[in-house]
Amino acid sequence: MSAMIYFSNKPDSYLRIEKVFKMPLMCINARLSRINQQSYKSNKGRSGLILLTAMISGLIYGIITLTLFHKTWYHKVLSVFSTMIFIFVSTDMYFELLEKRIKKDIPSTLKMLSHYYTHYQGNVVPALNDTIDRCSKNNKVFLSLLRDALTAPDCEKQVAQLEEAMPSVWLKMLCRIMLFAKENGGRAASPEQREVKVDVIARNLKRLNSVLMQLNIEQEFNDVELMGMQLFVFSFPYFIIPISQWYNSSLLSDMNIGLIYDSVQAQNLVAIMMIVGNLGTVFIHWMRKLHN
Amino acid sequence: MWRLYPLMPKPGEKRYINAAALLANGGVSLSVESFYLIKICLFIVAFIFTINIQITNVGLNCRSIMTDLNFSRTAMDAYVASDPERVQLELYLFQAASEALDSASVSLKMLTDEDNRNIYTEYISNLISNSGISLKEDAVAAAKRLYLKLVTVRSIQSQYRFYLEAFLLSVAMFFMPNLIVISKIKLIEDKRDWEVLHFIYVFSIFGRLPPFSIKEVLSGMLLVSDLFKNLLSSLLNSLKSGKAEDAFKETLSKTDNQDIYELLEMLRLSINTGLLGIVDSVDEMAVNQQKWLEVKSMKRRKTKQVYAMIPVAAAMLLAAIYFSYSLSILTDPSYFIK
Repeated sequence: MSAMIYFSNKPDSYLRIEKVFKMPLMCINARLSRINQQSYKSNKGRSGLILLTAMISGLIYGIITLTLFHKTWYHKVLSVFSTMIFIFVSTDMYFELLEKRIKKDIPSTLKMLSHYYTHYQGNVVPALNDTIDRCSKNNKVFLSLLRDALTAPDCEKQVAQLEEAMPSVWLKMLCRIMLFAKENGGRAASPEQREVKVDVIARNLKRLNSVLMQLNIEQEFNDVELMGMQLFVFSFPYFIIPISQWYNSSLLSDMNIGLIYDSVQAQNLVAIMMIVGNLGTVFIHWMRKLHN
Repeated sequence: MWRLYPLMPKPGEKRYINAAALLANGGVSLSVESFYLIKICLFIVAFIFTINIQITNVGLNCRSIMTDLNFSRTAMDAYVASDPERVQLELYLFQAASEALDSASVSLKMLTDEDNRNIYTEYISNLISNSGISLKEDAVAAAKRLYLKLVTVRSIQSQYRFYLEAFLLSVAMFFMPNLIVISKIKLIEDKRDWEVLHFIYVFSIFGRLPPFSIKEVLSGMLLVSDLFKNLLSSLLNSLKSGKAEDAFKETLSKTDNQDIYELLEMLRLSINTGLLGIVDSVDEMAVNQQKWLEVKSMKRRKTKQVYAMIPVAAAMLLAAIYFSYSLSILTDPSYFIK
C-alpha cells in the first residue's frame, strides 16, 4: 500500500527513470542472491554497489572512447554502443568469477560428504554438519541451508524450494540425493539393508563428484584457450592507439601527427577497431558460456 | 497480420519449415514469425544507420575538398597555409561557381568533357574577376582549381556505390541471425554430447535410488538439461498422463540425436525390465560415451579456437592498418606544417 502511494505521488518522467534503474538492479540482485543465498533486502546494498561500479567504469570508458573518436554523430552512437557492451561484459565476467569459485569447490565438498556419510552410516544431518565444518567457505552456505531444510518438519517442500534457488544444477542434484538419503537411507528394516542403501548413496555421491570433476576440467580447458583471446581482443585498441601515435610521432617528427590522427578517416579506423574489439569480446564470451 | 510483411514465409512453405528446423536445432525458443520479424527489423535499422553514415561521409568528403586550399597542387607548387578567412573565401567562390554551373543545366558528362574544360575554366575566371573579390593569387589558377574541385565533388555526389555498400551491409545484417544460429549449432555439438553424458550419469544415480521410478529419472534428467529441455519435459508430461509406451514412441520419433535416442530407448525398456535390471548397461554406456567424448573434444577444441581466431585476426589486421595509417598520407604537404 505504501509503495503504491509512494509511486502514485511522483511525476511520470521520474517514475520512468526509477524503473530504468530498478530493472538492472533487480537482475543483479537476483543473480547475487542465487550465488550467496542471502535475501533480496540484504543484497540490496551490494547490488547497488555493483551497479554503481559498473556505471562509473562505463562512464570512464565512454569518456575515453569519446576522446578517441568524436568527429561525427555516428562516432558518438558507436561510443554509446561500445560502452553498453563494456558494462554488460564486465558485469557478466564478475558474476562468472563468483560462480566459478563455487563450482570449483563442489567436487572436494562432495568427496568429504561421501566420506562422512559412510562414516555416520547413512545419518545425513551429522554427515552434513561435519562437512560444513571442513568444506571451503564457498560451499558452506549451500550445505547449511540444505541441512536446515532437511531438518524442517516439511522437508520435502523446503528442499524443493531450496532446489529452485541453487545456482548450479549439480547442487540441485545434491539436494535431491540428500532428500532421498534422508527419506530412505535411515529407514531400512535391517542393518544389511541399511548398509546397501548407504553404499548406494555414497557411490552415487562419488559418481556425481566424477561428473563434476570432468566438467570442471573441460571448462578449464575452454577458459584457458579462449579467455586469453577474449582479453586480447578487448584490450588491443588501448595498446595499439597510444603506441602507434607515440611511435609515429617520434619517427615522423617533422609531420603534424596531431592533424593526421584527428582526421575523420583516422577516427573512423579507431571506431571500427573499438567495435570489432567489443563485438569480438562478446562473441568469444558467448562461445565460452555456450559450453557452461 | 504476419502476411503483411513481404519477406515473411507462410506456414507450410519450404522456407518456413527450414527456419523452424534451424531454430529447433539451435535450441532457440523463438517462433519463425518472431525470428523473421527480428531479421526485418535488423535490416531496416542497419539500412537507415548505414545510409545516414554514407551520406555523412560523402558530405564530409565533399566539404574537405571544397575547403582545401591546396587542391591539385603538386610538390613543386608553393604550399598555401590555411586560415579561416581564406577558407571562407574559397568556400564562397566554390558555391558561386557551383550555382553558376548548376547540375540541372550542366551535366557531369558536359563538365568532364576535355573539349569544354577551357570554356568552363574561363567562365569561372570571369566570374571571379567580376565578383570584385581581391585574391592573393592569379584568377586563372584559382579558376582551374575551382573547376577541378567542382568536377571531383560532382563525381563523388553522383556515385551510387556508397549507397550500394550500405544496402549490401543491410542485407548481410538480415542474414546475421541465421549465421548466429548456425554458429551456435556448430558450437553446441560439444555441449549436446556432454548433456547426454550427464543424462547417463543421472540415469545411473536415480536408477539405483528408491522409488526406482522412470518419472524420477526423467525429472532428474530435466534438472540438468538445457538443450533437450523441451523434449524431456514433453515426455515427462505425457508420462504423467499415463500412456507410457505412446509417449516414448512419439518422443523417439522426434529425436534425431543417436545418443539420446539410445538412452530413451533404454528408459523405455526399463518399463518391462525394471530400472535396476538396466543400470549396469547404463554404467557401461557412460564409460564408452566418456571415452568418445574425450576424442571428439580434442577435435572440437581446434574448431572453437579457429572460430575465436576470427576476431583476433580482424583485430590484428586493424592494428596494422592503424599503425601504418600515418605513412599512407606522406604525399600530402599540409601535414608537414606544424
